[in-house]
Amino acid sequence: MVERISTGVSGLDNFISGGIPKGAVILLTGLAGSGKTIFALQFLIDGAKNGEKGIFLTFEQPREDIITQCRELSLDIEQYENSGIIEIISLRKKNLHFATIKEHIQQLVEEKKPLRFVLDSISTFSIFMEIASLVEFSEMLNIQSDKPIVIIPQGNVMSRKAIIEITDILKNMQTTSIVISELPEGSQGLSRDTISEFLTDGVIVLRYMIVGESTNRTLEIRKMRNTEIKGGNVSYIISKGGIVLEV
Amino acid sequence: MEDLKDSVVGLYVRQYIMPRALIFDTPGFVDFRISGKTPIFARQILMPESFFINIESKLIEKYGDEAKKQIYSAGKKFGYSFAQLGHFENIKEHPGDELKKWVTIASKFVEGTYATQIINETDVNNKVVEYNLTNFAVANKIGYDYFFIPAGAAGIIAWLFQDFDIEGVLFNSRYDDGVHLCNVTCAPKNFLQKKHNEVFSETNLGNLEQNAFQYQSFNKETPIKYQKSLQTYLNAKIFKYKDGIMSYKNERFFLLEVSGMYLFEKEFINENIKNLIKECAKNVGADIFGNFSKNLGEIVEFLSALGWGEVTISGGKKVKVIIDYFPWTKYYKDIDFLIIRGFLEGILQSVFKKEYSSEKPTIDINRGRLILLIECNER
Repeated sequence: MVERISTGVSGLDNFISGGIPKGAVILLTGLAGSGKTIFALQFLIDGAKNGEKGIFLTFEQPREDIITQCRELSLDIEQYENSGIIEIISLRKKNLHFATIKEHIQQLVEEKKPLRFVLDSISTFSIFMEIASLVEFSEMLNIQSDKPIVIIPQGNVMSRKAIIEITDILKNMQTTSIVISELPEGSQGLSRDTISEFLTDGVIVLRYMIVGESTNRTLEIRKMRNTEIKGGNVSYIISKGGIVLEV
Repeated sequence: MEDLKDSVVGLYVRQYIMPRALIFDTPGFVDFRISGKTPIFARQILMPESFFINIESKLIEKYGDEAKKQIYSAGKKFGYSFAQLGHFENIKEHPGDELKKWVTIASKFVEGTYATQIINETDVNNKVVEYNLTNFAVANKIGYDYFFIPAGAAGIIAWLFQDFDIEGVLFNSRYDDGVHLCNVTCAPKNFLQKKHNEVFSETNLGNLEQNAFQYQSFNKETPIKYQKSLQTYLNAKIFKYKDGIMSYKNERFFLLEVSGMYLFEKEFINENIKNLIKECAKNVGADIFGNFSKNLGEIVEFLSALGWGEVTISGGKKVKVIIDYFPWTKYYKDIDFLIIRGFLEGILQSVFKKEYSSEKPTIDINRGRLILLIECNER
């Protein structure tokens, strides 16, 4: 019997045999503005209600922006943050090397032992890694120059390697994790890096399409290991309380 | 009947031009594209034969000659529009016997997925084209048809001869050793009336021209979220193609330039007939598309591969169907998309085991492509 963790999105657990398998790493992907961060926050708050420790690690936004977003949607994250059940850690604009970030995540998970972990987002992380890897590479070679240095771009390879290592860390930690990824408009893959979907245990896709005056949002469970998935796309709205399925 | 020269032309078109011109390896799109002196681009959908069999037989059973006339009118407009849109070379560019070659080329394009064989004999001076047809779609099952032949053929020949007065008659429909054979004559109306009792006429063909640039722009191939194309299903032998017949299980499919779907629906304004069109499509949707898989995700990917664009169906209180990159024609404001809605209602009924009724779609063309939002309510 697989132990399951609630998603925090009302009604969604019914589509995936009661929730996400405990310890799984789930890729949450979607277009900009589709509600990925909101989904992830609901996931953490739902756990916090039961006293489950959660960490929200972001490369995208300062902590204050997340708090504001939660207030607008009446998601009471502050009480859980104040009591230490949820931690929001922003690494935005921090000039860290990959090895440092990897260590940081490993340390966080080992020390705090969260039951729920969110990484927002692997897309920003991978873009960051592409740049950082070039800098690391030049530092490694001890290149110092006032003139621009031309380096054959290996960033893509480096970022993929980094994604593999990060997902490995999360999988080994027995923490149930949501890894957020941006889905570029018109993309045929499920993530910007095109490999996250293969490395993770589950994939949830959020999409929206404006037709005429109406915004139509759909959620799709593309993959969930050890889980019977019901149905295809489900319509949802974003309102007070966050993501609400229209079922 | 067919001289050697025409036979070589036919072989050339069928063996060389057709396979290269038909683009079916792009998910969401099936196109006909030839880049030449006069480029041809035609957006297609793969249409199940059962729909036309059902709708033609039911309409004629219920409304008799009036239905035959209306089906014929829609078919002739479609044939003419198809030839016009495809820039088929006509008598103005190829006077005299030179036109014979272009009659044969047009026949071979049609033969691609509509018939096992089409043989034609052309009398340019009298504007008469005689066809011998083997296993032509729709007629091969019910023994008659008013949309594709003789009307569609008459429309094409009317374009080639640049004469609206050319009509078509189907006759001598018979089965020989299990193979359906029939004849069609396309000729000026008064010529046909001397030989046949039932000759329909449609000469209102002057406003069918579509802006080719606009048509191509709205129907431009674009990557969609699905990976499977018609080619995928052909490679997997889910679709089969042999002797001009494309089939999935026991259902025959053929390529329909999308104007055919629009013009067919546009012809009928009577509400009872409109309901009948949707009902027929619903039955076909349930039987053929709805039984493709138990998984709705697989069905929508299949529909997309048949040329529908990118189809997304999401469940909820209302079922919402969004079809992005749906085939566009200039008639997009003139129809209620009854055929597509009927297919969808049938699919939902088959998958969810409940009755659904669809609303008239919300249409969006603001992003340079046709997007349909169709909401379906449980009955």
